Amino acid sequence: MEIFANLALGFKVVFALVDWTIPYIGVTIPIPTNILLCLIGALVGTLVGVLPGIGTIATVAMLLPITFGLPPVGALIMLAGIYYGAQYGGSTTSILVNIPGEAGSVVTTLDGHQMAKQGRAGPALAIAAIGSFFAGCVATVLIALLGAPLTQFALKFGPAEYFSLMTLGLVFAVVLAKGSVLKAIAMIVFGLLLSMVGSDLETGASRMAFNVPELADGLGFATVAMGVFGFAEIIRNLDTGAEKGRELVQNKVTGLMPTRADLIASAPAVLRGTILGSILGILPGGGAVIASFAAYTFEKKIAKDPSEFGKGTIRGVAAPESANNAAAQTSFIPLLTLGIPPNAVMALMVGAMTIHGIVPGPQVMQKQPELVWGMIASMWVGNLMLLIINLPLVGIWVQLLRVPYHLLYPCIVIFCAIGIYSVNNAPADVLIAGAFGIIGYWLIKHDFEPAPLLLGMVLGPLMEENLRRAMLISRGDATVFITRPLSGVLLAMALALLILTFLPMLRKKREEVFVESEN
Amino acid sequence: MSEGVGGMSGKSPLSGTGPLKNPYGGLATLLLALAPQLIFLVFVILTPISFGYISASPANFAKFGFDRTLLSIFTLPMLVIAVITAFMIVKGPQDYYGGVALIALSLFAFYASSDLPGMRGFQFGPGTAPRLFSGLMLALGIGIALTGLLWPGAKLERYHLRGPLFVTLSIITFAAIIRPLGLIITAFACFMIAALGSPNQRWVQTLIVGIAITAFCCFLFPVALGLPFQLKPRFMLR
Repeated sequence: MEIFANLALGFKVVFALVDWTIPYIGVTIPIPTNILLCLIGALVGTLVGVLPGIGTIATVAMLLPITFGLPPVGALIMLAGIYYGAQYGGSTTSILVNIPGEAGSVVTTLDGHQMAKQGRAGPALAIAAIGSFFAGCVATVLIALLGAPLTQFALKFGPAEYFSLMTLGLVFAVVLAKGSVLKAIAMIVFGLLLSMVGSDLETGASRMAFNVPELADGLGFATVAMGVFGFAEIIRNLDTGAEKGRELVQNKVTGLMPTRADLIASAPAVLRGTILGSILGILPGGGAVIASFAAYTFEKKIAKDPSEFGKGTIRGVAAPESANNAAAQTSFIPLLTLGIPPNAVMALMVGAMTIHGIVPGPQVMQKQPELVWGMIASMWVGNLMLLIINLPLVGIWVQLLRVPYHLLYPCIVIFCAIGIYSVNNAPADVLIAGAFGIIGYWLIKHDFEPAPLLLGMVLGPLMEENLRRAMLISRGDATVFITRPLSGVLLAMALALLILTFLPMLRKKREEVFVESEN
Repeated sequence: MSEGVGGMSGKSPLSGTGPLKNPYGGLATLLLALAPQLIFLVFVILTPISFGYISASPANFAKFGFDRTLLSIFTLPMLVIAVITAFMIVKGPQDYYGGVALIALSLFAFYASSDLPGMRGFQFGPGTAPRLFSGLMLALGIGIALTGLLWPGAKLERYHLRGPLFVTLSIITFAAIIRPLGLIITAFACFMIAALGSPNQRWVQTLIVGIAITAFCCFLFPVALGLPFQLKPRFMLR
């Protein structure tokens, strides 16, 4: 069985022991470096993810520099740890303070915080972790199963197919985004335009850079992400007075373990959430956000007594949390097999890979199997870490949440600034991030979603390159996108999806899914 | 980077009397139309006090600000929109001004890519894709603005000044002094400036946290993570 061989290779990489001599004593002991890196990543990720107003994207962007000095495998494993840690941190704040750390855990606040108010924060956190772990296990197996065949499939892709696939991905992103479809498309196009700044891929001509040397290389993705998701969030929180909105659960979190009844009630919800999340995560442009919303809505639809939801039922925590995590994990599939980042976090992963000289895509799977499978195995380990280390540490996270926001946010500003600066040692990057902080603040005020913007920015260069290449190969014949069967099918799907979104009936359905969170 | 900022100066537009139904909205759009020139002017004013970070001379301003391409592609259409805005009752301001800003952005992108060669035969030039996406953006911007103009929608949200001002100031300070003054001074100064953004500070407490965080940063980044940060100011190293 190839899958087992692959997974075995992955776990060998993760559990690899490195001899380390203790300084001054001279004793050499073998230590599992990669496990330690995963552990540190998960811990630091949770630590930052718990801070209010810092979502997964900002956390990963902020912590990117700390992995620069590591070997490639170690760096990616640590980043994966940070990613899961940040996700779990987001759930923790949702349950304890009613502030979702990121969009994916918005629905968790509905029932999670109610449970916390009833003194059942412990079981809520435990179920979130257990559900996530189960979802993580399933998703890991799924990645291992789908990875190899999809890679084979991906090798058949030409530029035209890549372009069509990315178009489909962007259409998915529009359909799955919250709010107005028109605005979501506009944000994607904004992102595409931003990605054009800098030198042209083929001719090297300077585009829209106004002879400013700092813009000659284009806008850094991590820089924009930090501005739009880091600084903008801080500014907005200052506006709304984050102090007032924080109703921290004051009573001590006791009795971590869920009861038997809790487990029985949540088991099917976890299962359904996992399935839904795994499917939605694979879609390019899809992701964790819609997965959690969809899982919650679905759970409510099939419940015998839907009125329980919103009043602290454990199923309302179990389903979205597992869906969220399953989707977070399966979204690695398009990245590892096709080299297309399906969401902003994956785009940051691409950034990290590029720094270490790895170009993600079907070739990596074949040329550097230990890297890919090591990372896949580390996802599973990362989830296990969250389960083992984070539950006992809940007390510390609660303490951290007691830090008043007016002391917290200046620290976040500094960490963000240092993080951006250390990527290129360029002060200009910090200024650009600051400018995007203000733009992001403006976007929030006008109800534009920043997530599609980042996706557009990531896919922009890839799309343009493939579009130009396809046109060159076909000698200017634009029909190539329709006449090549695979590309034609993908484009037809994208078009059908876009038309469906505008149909009044489905439009109502789509709004229904998101409205859940608002009341 | 200028356009998104320019459009935010909208307070909730009061409906005026007479033919001018929306004077404040018109004024905000007018500012947006003149944003490139105004921002360049700020750069010119800041040049003498920026320690060589910015170099924008009045001669450059005349060349940039009265460039015919800029005037015809960006300024003129935006002025037209500003006039239209002043005579309209906007039903959904949030969407309308959002759309107007997108229009401004797309026009500016058209201008920015106007010097790039387009299609050469069947081959894409460097300017093709930017213009393609600018056109798409323009269409979307018009669509969103029309939605806001014709259908009732959300009101503008209130903008606050204090938080954005001091956080931005802190970021600018960081960029300006990290090279010459080193991490210790920069981290502490930026912490205190950013802290001004909230009215709830108790300053002794803030000072202590600031010192602690500075110490933590100076240990974490250069020592524990081995990133190339210089701790002390440059003049103390000589």
